Amino acid sequence: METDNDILAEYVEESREHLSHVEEIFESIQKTGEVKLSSINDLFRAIHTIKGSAGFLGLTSIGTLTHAMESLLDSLREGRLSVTQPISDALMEGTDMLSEMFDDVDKSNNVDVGELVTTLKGLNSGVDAPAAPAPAPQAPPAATAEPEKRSVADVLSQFPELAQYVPPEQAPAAKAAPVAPAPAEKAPKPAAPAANAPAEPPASSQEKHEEFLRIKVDLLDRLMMLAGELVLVRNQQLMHLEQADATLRSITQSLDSVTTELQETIMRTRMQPIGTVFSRFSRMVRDLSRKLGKKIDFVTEGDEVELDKNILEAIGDPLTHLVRNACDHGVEKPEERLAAGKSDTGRVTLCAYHESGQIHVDIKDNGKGMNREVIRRKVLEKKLKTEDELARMNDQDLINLVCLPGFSTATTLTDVSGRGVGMDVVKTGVEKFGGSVSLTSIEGEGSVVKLRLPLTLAIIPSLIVQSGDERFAIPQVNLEELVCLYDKDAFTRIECAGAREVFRLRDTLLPMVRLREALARERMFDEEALSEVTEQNSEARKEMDAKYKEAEDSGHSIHYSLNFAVLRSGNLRFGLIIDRIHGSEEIVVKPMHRAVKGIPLYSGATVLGDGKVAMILDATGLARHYNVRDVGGGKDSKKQKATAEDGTELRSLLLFSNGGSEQFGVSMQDVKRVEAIETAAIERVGSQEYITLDGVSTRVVRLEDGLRVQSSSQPENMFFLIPQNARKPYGLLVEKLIDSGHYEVKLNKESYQAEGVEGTALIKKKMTVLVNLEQLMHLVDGMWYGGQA
Amino acid sequence: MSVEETETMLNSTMQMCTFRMANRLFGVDILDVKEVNENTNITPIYHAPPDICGYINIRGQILLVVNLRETFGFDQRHKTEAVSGKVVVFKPSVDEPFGIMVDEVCDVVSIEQSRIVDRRANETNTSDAARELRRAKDGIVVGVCPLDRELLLVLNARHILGRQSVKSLDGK
Repeated sequence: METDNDILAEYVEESREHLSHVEEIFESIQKTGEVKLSSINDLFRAIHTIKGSAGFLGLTSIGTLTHAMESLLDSLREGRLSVTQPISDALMEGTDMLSEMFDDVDKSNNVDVGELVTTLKGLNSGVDAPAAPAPAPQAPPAATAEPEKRSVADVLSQFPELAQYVPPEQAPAAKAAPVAPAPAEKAPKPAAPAANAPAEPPASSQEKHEEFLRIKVDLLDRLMMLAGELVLVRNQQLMHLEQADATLRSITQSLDSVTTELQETIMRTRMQPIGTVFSRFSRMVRDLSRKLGKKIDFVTEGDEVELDKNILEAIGDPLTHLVRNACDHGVEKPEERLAAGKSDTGRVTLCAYHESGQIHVDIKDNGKGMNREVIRRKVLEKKLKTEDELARMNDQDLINLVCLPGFSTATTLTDVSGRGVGMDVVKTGVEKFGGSVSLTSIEGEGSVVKLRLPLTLAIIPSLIVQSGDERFAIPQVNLEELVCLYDKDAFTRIECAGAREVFRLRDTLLPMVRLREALARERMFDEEALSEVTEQNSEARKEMDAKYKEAEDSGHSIHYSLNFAVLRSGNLRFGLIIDRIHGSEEIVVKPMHRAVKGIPLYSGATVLGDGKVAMILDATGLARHYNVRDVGGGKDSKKQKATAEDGTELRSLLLFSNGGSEQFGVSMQDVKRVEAIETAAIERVGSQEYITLDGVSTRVVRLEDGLRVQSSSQPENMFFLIPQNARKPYGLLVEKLIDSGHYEVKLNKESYQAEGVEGTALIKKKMTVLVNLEQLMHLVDGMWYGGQA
Repeated sequence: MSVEETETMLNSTMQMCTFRMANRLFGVDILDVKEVNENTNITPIYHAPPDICGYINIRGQILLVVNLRETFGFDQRHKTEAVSGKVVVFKPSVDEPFGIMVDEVCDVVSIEQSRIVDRRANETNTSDAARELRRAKDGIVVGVCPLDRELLLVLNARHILGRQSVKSLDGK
């Protein structure tokens, strides 16, 4: 039998749903500015349903409040009153109060609803809002003194005008008596059984509501698991298909497709539109703008984009931070905006869209943007970085500093934001579930925060590596790059610094971790263990050296190779030496078993494609276990004195050539990844070229399409640079990669001017054309769409 | 006989799923057992306590495999070494998914609960079985039941992992 608590919990759950529906309606009213009769009806119905069971369950405060709201809505519905600002404000306030009460339903009877009820009554009786305070003074004491005992009917009786609106039988019903006040409803449709009711009266539900069913998440998880098992059974079946006859083959094929579809459908049950999260912000922005004395338009795009339920829940807080930031720090006060030549109303946009298997959420504002000087000053003031370090940073690095813990530029501490935790919390929050944050900002024009989120929490892209006989998965979010050292490099490039091994990666000293050793030792590494490992390996290196030389002398050669992955955990980077790299795989993360949860090395386990279980490595735990510390502050500072006076700037560039003798460079941060491709795979459609990467047709852009440079000689293998932050899938085809690294760049903008080019610089004693990827893509795109008729 | 008495009679017999490890016969309540599986493809979990064999994949589900030999101190086989591959898998109601590695799975035996001798009562006994029992801590072995030709050690599956979760990683 259901206990009272069960019934109560169910009621609260249902009521929350109704309330969120109510809020949606308010939002749409707010947005469109028009009030449809159907929305009023919906509101009435929702509030009425909440009221119905409240009385039954003895929730008097909720009952009283909903009754007052219901009466007011009823008057609106019947056309006796029209919607005015005070009315909608009061109703919204009521909704807020209700949702607060549902948060702690046991104490809801202690909540003082008297004042609001009086206001609602006043409004209902046709008294305008300003006049409402007049009767208020008498009513509140009455209603507040003993809210449990005092029923609405009593309050009602103080307003004789109301009598005409409330049929006599409704007054007693409204008394929070343990009977459902359903009969009181004088609605044009049959009274809904209010006791236990999502009960949408059928008459009106047809027009727009899809049908929903509440399902336990447990059950869905179980379904998901069963679908997984079915997939494995199907795989076995497919394996044995060779011996089978034609009929069986076709049956298996349909089993195959049905299984796939089943799995996808079940996956989708967990997906919910992001609009459910977005919708709560329009209210927040409105409240904030009032509080801050700003005028802010709030726009959302891509409400229908679907995300896993868990992620939706997790991004609520980061998004709240970001939207608040945009309102508080981003958008200026109207007078400032006017002075800056903008319209007095600012705009905050939330925009969600799919891209390359991830969900992107952009939070844009057209406010004042980030002031670099202020950031610089703040960072120095809080001693987060030194002047020297700042001087070496480029613009992007500087903006990213706002994500440092303890950073806040708000000069005054408001209750909205400015406690110096904001962006840091957002960043860690988003990264925790495998997302990433990037910031761009143009001073005077506004800022954009881009969140990249995985579609689901359970499936993450990762790199499969091997150490000994076992394979391990490294989540892609921790992975920065892979380095392979061949032959001589394999034993000469790893050096010893004190007790540990390091590798000089583009002027950065990278501490090295040997996965094999980390696995072999259960105890956390101390200096002793470290030096033991280092010693052993330097011995091994000497041996390799000797063998190599011997082989060289005797005329044949041995091949060595050493692979390591550069991992990042927080601000710490290290190289993880592994035996083999298998490639990347999308893995389903399973949590560790209770009995082995305490092992810091792993963040979970997964089943690989061939059915074997692999452990998922935890970069943070691994670094801690191996006692990795930042070696020498990361960079060799002696080399990198940026001399800002003569315009030299340290930039990380990728250098390439396009066949001819010209050397080109692009900023590393503009490049998402580089693919080695075969030119035969390029397809032509009309005048455009495409290549399929990861199932996506990607537009091929050639340098010579946009710039007047030598064309490529079309060798068999070329490289394809995929730009960061691209809204359309495209990439730049280049013939040869020359090098990558940090270079001192003194940009010369005069000697070679063209669109899509930043300028030229002397790099490695060669004139290098620095290509601006984004501009180039725009340029080529424009020619495709516009230039050619 | 009253209904109640009949019920207690029925309750008092239980069916045991029996298996062998290091030549000794063990049994667990068959109601706790989900299945017996053969799987040699074990992924070792480095840094796990010594009596954890590793993870196996059973139809897409990841399962922890425990080596009770290690728990009881029977012999010092290394955990990564290939083992017989027979795994007794317990139901999810017992604990988070796990199973135990056994040498051989034997019959299902019905025994009367009254015949199970509580190990604590046997503490003074110096037989081999009792010494082993003392070694098995924390109630994994709930008692001994004499069968026709040998002793059956009755295990409580719910207690097998109980103690391991607290084991920390401060070395040995």
